[in-house]
Amino acid sequence: MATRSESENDAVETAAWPEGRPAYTSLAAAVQGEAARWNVPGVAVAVYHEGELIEASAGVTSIATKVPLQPHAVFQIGSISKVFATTLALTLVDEGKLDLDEPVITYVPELPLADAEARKTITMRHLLSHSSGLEGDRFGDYGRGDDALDKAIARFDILEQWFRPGEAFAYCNTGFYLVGLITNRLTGKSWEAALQERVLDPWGLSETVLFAEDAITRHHAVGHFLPSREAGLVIARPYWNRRHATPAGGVLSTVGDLVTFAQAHLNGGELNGARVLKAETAQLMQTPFIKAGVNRHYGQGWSIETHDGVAQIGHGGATDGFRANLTAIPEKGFVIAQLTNADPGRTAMEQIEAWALEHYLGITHPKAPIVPADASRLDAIAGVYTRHSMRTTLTAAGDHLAADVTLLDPDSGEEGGQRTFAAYPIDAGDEWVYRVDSGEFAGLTMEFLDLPTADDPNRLLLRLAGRVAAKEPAPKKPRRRTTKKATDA
Amino acid sequence: MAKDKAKDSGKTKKAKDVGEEAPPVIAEESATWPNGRPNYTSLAAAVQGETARFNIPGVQVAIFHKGTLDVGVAGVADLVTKQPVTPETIFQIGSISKIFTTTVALSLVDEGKLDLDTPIVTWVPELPLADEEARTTITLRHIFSHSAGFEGDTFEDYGRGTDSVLKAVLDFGKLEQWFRPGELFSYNNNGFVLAALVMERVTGQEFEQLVQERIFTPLKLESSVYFAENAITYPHALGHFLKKREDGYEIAKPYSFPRQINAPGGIIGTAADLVRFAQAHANGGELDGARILKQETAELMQTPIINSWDQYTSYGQGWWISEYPGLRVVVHGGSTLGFKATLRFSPEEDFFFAALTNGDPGASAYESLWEWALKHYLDYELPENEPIELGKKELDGLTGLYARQNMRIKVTRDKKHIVVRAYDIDPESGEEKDDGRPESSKTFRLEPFASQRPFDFQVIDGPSKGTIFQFLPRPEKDDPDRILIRVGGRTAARAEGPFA
Repeated sequence: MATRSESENDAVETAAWPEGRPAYTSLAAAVQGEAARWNVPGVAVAVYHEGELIEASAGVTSIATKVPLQPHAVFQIGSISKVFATTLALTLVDEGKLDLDEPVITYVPELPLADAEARKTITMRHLLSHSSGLEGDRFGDYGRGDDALDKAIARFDILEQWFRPGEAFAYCNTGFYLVGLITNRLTGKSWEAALQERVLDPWGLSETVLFAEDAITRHHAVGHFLPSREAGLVIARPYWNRRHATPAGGVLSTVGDLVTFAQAHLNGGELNGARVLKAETAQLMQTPFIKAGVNRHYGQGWSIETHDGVAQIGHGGATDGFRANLTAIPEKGFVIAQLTNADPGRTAMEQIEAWALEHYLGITHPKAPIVPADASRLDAIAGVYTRHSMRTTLTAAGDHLAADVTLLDPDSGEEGGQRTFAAYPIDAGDEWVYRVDSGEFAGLTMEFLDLPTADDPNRLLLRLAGRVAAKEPAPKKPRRRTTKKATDA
Repeated sequence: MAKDKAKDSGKTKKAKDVGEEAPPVIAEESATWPNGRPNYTSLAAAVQGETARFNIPGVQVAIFHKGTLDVGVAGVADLVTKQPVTPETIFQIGSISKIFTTTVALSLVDEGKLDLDTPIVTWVPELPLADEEARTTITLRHIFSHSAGFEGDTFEDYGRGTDSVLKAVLDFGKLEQWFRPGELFSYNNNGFVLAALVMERVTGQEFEQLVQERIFTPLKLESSVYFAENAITYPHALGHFLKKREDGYEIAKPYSFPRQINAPGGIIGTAADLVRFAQAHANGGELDGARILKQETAELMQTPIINSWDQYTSYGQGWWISEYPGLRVVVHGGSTLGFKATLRFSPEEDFFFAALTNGDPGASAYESLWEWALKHYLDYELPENEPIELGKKELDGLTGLYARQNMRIKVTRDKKHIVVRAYDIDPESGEEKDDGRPESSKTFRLEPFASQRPFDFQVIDGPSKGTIFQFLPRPEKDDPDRILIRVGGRTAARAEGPFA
């Protein structure tokens, strides 16, 4: 099939958001259709099923060059990098150089966390499962040098400690800077060189690179923002790269390599005779460690969803203008890797994955039904929840919560974009979980964690898309640090 | 494009790295030597024609004259995707970056933050040059006129950090000092790394940020960047190496030099941006109300101080200046990993020419386009080369049979001249191929002319009159008589001879 023409793009631009997903009969059609339906410039997908690799791609690498996107295009994979970082760190556990339950200050004695208890008790196991309680979405810019990780960690004195290590799940990018630094120290190599030597080379992941100067000479995609359907797509500049955040989100790869990577994990850490992890270590990564939402846990590195007793492991990725996802179903030997080069890629990937699970495996995940709201619970929740880059005001609105989100500039604290949405309670067993029903955050869930402290016995945390924010009044620290625009890694 | 591919073997298919594919061959291996430039009537035609004639993957030329900007493009951004070059495609400009570096340093001189004649050790006391006299006397004026005298070409990797510049300079203790500062011209990349350190010290800012703030932003050079991670988001050309002609082009990897080379050669941009930059220089350091240099400083950069090239050409601060009869041209070129570039302008004629190419032989194409443009826009012809005499012994030393794949150039001497005969051979028999071309297109008489190289020759008569043949001695340990011949940007090595 041909690449979408400009006129077709224009048609998509002005169309209303389409309702249902057509009944595609092939992966190629699904990828083509969903890329167009959600206005994603480029999508690459690889499915591994019953011993076959099926690849498909649609669209272009960049709206400026309009180079047709091939399945072997190199994309930013964002936070899927964390599973690479975990794999790499665990090679050190297998060799006895790193202990998952040793406090990380053993490896990074200068770790400057403000919370003395957390400083002494956070372990690698907490970091790899996002349960350290460290404030997670701090990005900053610490240069391109090999010392970027050291510089980033030196500023960890500004991080909030949301809860005691191990107490809950809160998605944590900063924890993976620390994972990177520890790897760096224990191997005596840059994180990138260690990954190359210990993971990429043994598993033959030759399409996976770590720097833009290596991607630029290959077939590669460029990220795009879709500020609004009316404004259309714009190229994301600069190409997101923060050296210190590479272990959290800076790996560049292809759908083919992501499938190979997942297969090596499904295969117990060994691929084509190259063992990178012990079988029990690969298994540990896939074993639920901390509850992370409805039907969802984190193991070590992997996110694990369980539906009808069938486990799906995976990870998503989001950097400026790129959205990525990797999902594997170990008991079916099934893998789907998806890479997209625009914000709305998230929606397209959800649709393509849902189609693929049904098409190849007959698996459907019915949407959890909305349940009647508990008025007193809504009243208890209502309030203002703040973290450094976002303020969310929740109001009880009869059968749902009305949310008013203000994005805050992490540098100045100035108010940026506004989002409003409704979130309805959904059937989630004995928990109260609220699902966003429309807009940019549609489908994301909000959970509330009762985590009292001595200072604040009624302390309540909102967890939206895995990120936590404390209900005001909450303990506050002076904001001293300046950072660039926060970005989901 | 979408494809649904099921593998029959059940094994995972590995998509190939694009760079590992067999390199595309565009060289017309049996092509005849270029026989002179057609009379193009437009820039578009000239760029198309010369790109094809010299087999360059891609070329972008911007010319500004009398208020009008023309941009001509041809070929592809890279030979793997085969995306056409457009006026927006960004190329590495290589050493033209040195003029940006010099300009920023001089803007700091204008502000009194730097001085051209203060020894650099004032700002970099730890400068570890081994030669103490050089260490304590070298100034920015020496650096920007390539007369500092220390070894200039080291391209080691000092990492990606801001400290890469300092790390590189701290390694300067190993550089040889070839002559006393100010004594001679000798092209020096390392000097610009040192200049970047000085600029970072006096401003407290990263070098790249200084160029952004002091040139790119005020002059609105919106397609000029440093770093691959910035270039990757623009339509960009890739460099191409032509190591062995029979293998065709290959994509140049790595894409770029290490970070500290940004000051001597790291900019990636468009020809149109280069023209704007040159306009600011021609216009006394100001363009559209944005002043980047004082007028006298812009003029200083174009003031010849050291003879460096042919009989017409000297170096100023950053710029080369060629003073031809009736035409002054200010020039800098760039040559980096698979990219060749030039920027030239005549302030008096209000004429600006920037050419960017992404293949090793790109300089041949842009030289030809420059000559064409001078004629077309200014009705100017560069002065004829001045013949010189060479001794019989020297001429004999150049004779022999030069070979490149299926092409042969037989070089002999008659009483007065070098005679070359260029022909193709049949690869099967090794005999000369009968291609029906007239002898006049194969045999040429050459005379040497004054040049910065010792053995530059031109065709004396016939249809190829003026075509330049260069003999380039390139001795190697095990082959002290090794010599190459270059014509039309193509090089052949001597396989037999000399015939004396």
